[in-house]
Amino acid sequence: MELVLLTIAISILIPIFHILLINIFRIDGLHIKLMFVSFLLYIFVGIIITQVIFQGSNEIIMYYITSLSTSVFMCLFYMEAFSMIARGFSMRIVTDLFIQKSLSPEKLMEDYADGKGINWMLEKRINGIENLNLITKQSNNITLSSNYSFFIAYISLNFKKILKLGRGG
Amino acid sequence: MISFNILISLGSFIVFLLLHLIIWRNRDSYRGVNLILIISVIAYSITIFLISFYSQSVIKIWMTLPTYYCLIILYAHLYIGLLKSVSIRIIEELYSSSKFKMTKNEIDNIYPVREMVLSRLSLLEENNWIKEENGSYKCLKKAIIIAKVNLFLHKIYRLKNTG
Repeated sequence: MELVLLTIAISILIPIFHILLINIFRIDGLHIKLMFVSFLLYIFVGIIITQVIFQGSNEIIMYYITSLSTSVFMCLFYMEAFSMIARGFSMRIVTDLFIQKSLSPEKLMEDYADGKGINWMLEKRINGIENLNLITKQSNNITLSSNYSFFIAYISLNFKKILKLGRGG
Repeated sequence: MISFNILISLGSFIVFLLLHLIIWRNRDSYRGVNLILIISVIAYSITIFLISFYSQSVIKIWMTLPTYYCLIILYAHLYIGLLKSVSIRIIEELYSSSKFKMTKNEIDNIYPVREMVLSRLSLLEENNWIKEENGSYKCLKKAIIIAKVNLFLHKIYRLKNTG
């Protein structure tokens, strides 16, 4: 129990490492990679702590598994929170309304994300999957471009069908 | 002992998946993340109860629980990712189209951003985050706090193109 609580407590190191690394490198677009570096550093600290506290114990492997599981849990939790700050749609709407004090829906779409406009949001998603080589853009046409994208679509469509989830998105 | 505890975590996860599947296929009302959390607690409790009933082995709760919840959060990520992701939806639409090809306008038509903004505004208003006055929307107290925190986090994380 102590190990789980300790691993949760030291998860405060994830944002600390992440913010430190971002402010050391100061390169746009490195945020996600640096987040994974922070995860590795945090997991490493967790393993070291487990080694120091439970050295010589017969159940040391069990403690490693506990530490690792708790660390992965906290990393995924952090990933979700960071994604909400960096990409959250509702969060951006609320922030835009706060900055502009009051906005009509039309003006909100026009001014979305510091004046980039709502279409920029869809463009950003399309560019994101293009950068992952899942699609290709040629003039006005967008095409699925790798076996991996076919696999994702197949899995996703069947997952939604089995759980009766509707189209989503 | 180690494999026994890992098996309990895996067993609980399988019970969770079964319950999740049964409930999702038979329920039409609310099926959100909170329900996934409730099911995860029920699945774990059922598994622990059954194993304690039929086995004399000592169950290490503080080992099985983190491993089990690690699997649950991995699954929750997959679930939310597939359900909410705009990128995944675009890939699905391309997969369903003829020759796996679409124009930008066709994507705009199947994914109308205007309706997406309007539905999100209604949802935020319903949950008392914002209010409408003379055709314009304003932040309410909790949205103001969240927006301030968000702007502070943008600053310390040096985030520019959010949303």
